[in-house]
Amino acid sequence: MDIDIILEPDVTPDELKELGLLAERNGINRLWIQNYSAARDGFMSLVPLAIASTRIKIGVMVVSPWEMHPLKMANALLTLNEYSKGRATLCVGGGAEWNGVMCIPVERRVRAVRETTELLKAACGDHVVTNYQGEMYKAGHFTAKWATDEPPLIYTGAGQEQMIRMSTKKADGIVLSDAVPAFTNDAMGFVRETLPERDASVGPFRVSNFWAWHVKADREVALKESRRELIIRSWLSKHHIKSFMSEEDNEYIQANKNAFITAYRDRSGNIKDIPQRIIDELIEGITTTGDLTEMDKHLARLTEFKDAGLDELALRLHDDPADAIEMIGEHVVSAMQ
Amino acid sequence: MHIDIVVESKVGAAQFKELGLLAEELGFHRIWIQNYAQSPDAFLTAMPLALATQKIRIGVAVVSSYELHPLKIANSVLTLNEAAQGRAAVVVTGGGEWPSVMKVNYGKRKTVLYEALEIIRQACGDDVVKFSGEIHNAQAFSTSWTTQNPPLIYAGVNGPSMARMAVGVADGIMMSDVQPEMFNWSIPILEKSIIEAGRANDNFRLNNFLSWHVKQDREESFRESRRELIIRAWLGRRWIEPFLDSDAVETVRANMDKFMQAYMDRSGDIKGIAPEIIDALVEGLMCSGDLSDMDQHIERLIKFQAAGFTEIALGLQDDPADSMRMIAEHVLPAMH
Repeated sequence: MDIDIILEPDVTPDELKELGLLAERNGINRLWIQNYSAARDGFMSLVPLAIASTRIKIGVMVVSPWEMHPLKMANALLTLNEYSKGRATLCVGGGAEWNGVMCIPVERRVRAVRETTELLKAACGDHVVTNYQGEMYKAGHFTAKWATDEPPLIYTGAGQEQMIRMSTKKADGIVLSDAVPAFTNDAMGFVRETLPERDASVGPFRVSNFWAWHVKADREVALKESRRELIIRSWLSKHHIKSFMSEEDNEYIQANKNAFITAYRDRSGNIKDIPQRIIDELIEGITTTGDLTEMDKHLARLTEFKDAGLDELALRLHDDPADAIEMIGEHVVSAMQ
Repeated sequence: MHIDIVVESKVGAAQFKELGLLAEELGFHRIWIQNYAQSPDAFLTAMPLALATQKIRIGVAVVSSYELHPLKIANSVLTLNEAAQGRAAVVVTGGGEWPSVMKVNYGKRKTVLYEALEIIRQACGDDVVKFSGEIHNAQAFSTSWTTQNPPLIYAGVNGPSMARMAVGVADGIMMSDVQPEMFNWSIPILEKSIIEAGRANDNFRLNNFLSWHVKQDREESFRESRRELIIRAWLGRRWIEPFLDSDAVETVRANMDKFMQAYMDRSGDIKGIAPEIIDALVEGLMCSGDLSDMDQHIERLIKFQAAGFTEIALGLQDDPADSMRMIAEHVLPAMH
């Protein structure tokens, strides 16, 4: 199982380049950058790293067709792919944070991602879209003959059955989000059932999982960061945490999300008025958090993902990403091969 | 009047960076990169240059909200602006090449462009964006991560109605292929709009894309000119009527495919069109020829300056570094 890392574009492109080169030296498979509205553009931020690096794959996640037309995504992805000499990846999603700021409701999510994936595969694979007549998107007379490298990879951000099944047929891969091992096993079941329907010409299929990583030299700092970011672990949806939280605790969490949101927004990591037992169970259940003395336990957890059949695991880093990259390079990368 | 240059993104990031560094060294005001659907992404391609330069301004032209939501355009130009330490610009238009490959209906172009400009203007300011329009909406968009002076937002417009609208919301206007023979329909209303909007002393920028093909080799210059002729405002009537009689105008309009073929096959060979028609269009819509023609081109540029243009953007094609050196030697001194 390859180890990817995920960063937020809250660093400058030059800083990102240095972090990416460090990740490359530490054997990391791919560096993903997240696409947030309140940060630099992900594609543009990756350009210096794309040009400077030689091995590490680079990717942008998650971009939806509501913010940029699929052909525009293809153009940006192909450009990044050329500058990285065939190492670019895009994860397409069905709309999230950007839709909020654009005031665009998400409708027909699976259809939108499917048409986007089809357009991206044609534009990035064949470098030509002659006439695409989708229900939501149309395109024609598009060529990218200037693109010469191996086509970039098109992943989708898939969590639910319908999206996973569609993506298994159409995309190069999927990235699950905060999927705990039980959830991952369910997702892999959908993938395995659908793979026989996949046309061989689409190429190999990969499954990854976005997973929060808060392992630090200082355990308290790790726990604080983990608490702070807890709400954005798939918004602590009932579906995501049901495999390790009791029904009663799950209901309690759903009714008290504001405490988690406040701890995220004020950056304190102080989740007020929520029983510590519940916070601990969430951190244990949906993140990897702790210090180096617990590395064997962390590796055992990651091995569960590998055993479930994941091809890649994308570890989301937060504060002090360089420290995390070196730690992952030293302890995780080789252990997961 | 400042002299900008315009280069297509097809050159790629490495060459664009080298060209931009040369342009900076030669004293150009700004380098624009063109956003075409059949070329690498312009914003991405501009990034290495933005990070490498110190003085020259960097812009992307033209982008429409049909291809990117206005907030996404804002996010892109703000990212470029941070990399360029406050030297970025973008031209936002209601058309361009992208809508045709996306097969989108233009709808209310003026409304689309106005709303896009207004959202981008807000997004590049200090306040959190909140906008409710007919076409586009925006809310809670924060740019607290930015540290530089805002980028400049130009409207890519030509007609009087669009220009009047743009004066109220943009930092400047970039026209396309307008020539002195067209000033009678483009300039008076614009001047009036600038005064009415209270922007006469507001450093409002007025730019025009002018196609530049002057080379050492005269024949090579004219071949390149003929090749690119179709994309000079798509040879719209208002652009060709000043240079042709009515029969010739109809001939051109009825034979656009021949001009397109010369562009697509890169031959510059416009078959079946009388040479005098082609020569008149090249003469009227482009700066072509060799060094012996330089004086007349400079005279044309001086007419733009006299008409109130604050900038002119010279569109370069083949061998752009040679063109830049020639312009720096002959044009820049004459325009200062």
